[in-house]
Amino acid sequence: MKAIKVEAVTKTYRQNKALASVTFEIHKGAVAALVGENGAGKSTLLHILAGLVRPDSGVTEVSGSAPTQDWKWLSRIGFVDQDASLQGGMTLNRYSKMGKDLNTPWNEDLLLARCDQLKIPSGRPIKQLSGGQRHVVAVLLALAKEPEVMLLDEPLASLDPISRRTLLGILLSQAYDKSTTILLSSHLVSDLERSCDYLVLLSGGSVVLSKPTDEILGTHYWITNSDKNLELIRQMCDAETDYMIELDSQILLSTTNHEIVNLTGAKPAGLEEIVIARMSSSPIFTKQAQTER
Amino acid sequence: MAKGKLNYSIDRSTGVPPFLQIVEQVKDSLHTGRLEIGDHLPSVSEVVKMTAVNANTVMKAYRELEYAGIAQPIQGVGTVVTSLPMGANPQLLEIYQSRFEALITQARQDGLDWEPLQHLTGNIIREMKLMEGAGESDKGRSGYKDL
Repeated sequence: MKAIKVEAVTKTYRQNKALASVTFEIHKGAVAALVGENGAGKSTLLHILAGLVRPDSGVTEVSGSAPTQDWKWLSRIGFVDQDASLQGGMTLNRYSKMGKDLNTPWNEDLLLARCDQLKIPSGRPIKQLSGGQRHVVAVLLALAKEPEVMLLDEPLASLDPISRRTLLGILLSQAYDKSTTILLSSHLVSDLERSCDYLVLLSGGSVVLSKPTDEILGTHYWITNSDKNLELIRQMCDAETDYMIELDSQILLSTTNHEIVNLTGAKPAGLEEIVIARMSSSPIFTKQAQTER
Repeated sequence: MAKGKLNYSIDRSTGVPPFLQIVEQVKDSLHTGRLEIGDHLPSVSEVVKMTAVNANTVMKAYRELEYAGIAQPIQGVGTVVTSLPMGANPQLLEIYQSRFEALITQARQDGLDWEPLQHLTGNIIREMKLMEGAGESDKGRSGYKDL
């Protein structure tokens, strides 16, 4: 079952094309990462999915319906913006009481236990907390209403490495225990490699890659850039499904052909390297490479 | 070694897939006797919370252990160790641990550095395994070599 569907979504701000026909789907219960350079359209996309921005065209479906302002739908969605602003004078305890009055369900016990785990004083006014702590509080509050879909814009950016790991652990266990679908944007690809089971890579307003993390890791290889290897790629790769990115001394090849992997002595590529290569240059498809040479 | 709850540590820089790191750490604990038959493995939920590794990764590791006949999921109980990995012998390993320790201490005292020492032991094991024609028998089902 799909928890998030995005089909041919476009959005232009005045002259600026923020999203140029974006299409992808996320399974229920998946922990998906939205990755891309600054200005790639990640925040615009998350705002559209949260029902805060209307797309120019295209279809979106989150938790079974198009984003609306209807409270029934809103109660199933959790959204934390990049700069989530909380009222500074209120304590977390008061926020939790307010949350309890406004939401069903509201898991107060879990909320307070998690604050403890992250060493956040729940009796102190929010404004006395650090920027990172304030952001964590916002995410924990959103989790307390046990939404079906959590949309998070850069939830890890302002956190130290330990809090980052702890918050990721909290997000992942909620995804596992409650089948919550999580879509989070982040630049910290090394953290995502172990945590996210799906990756959507945006570049210049378009989806460059949208696949399960395991599948991406299992099909991307580094190969030494030599005439012999290029010849092998030309002969053996499938132009329809395989692609390569030619860098100075290395080639990033995406293929499911294990024979060529063995013949060229290819080494598996890490997620961060794949993301950087795919963001900075467009792939040469092997069919193209064949005709060019 | 203190017997206690198993804590997996996933290191991303090794290039070994996270699920295999869990499998290896369970096997390692069984080899050294830190984990015994009948012991519980940490639940998927616990591991996810502690290590921030995706639940699918942990489930994949536990399936692999089940497939290898080492652990079994038991309804309402969790994943339980049912047998030791091939060739495991914690008692014998303990005896040889002190023997090797004595030998390595001696080599250090004689002035041998850690790095050549590490290469040496690695090489001896690799070469002897080749000569015995081993390596074939204990190759992982998942196709990853050199573990």
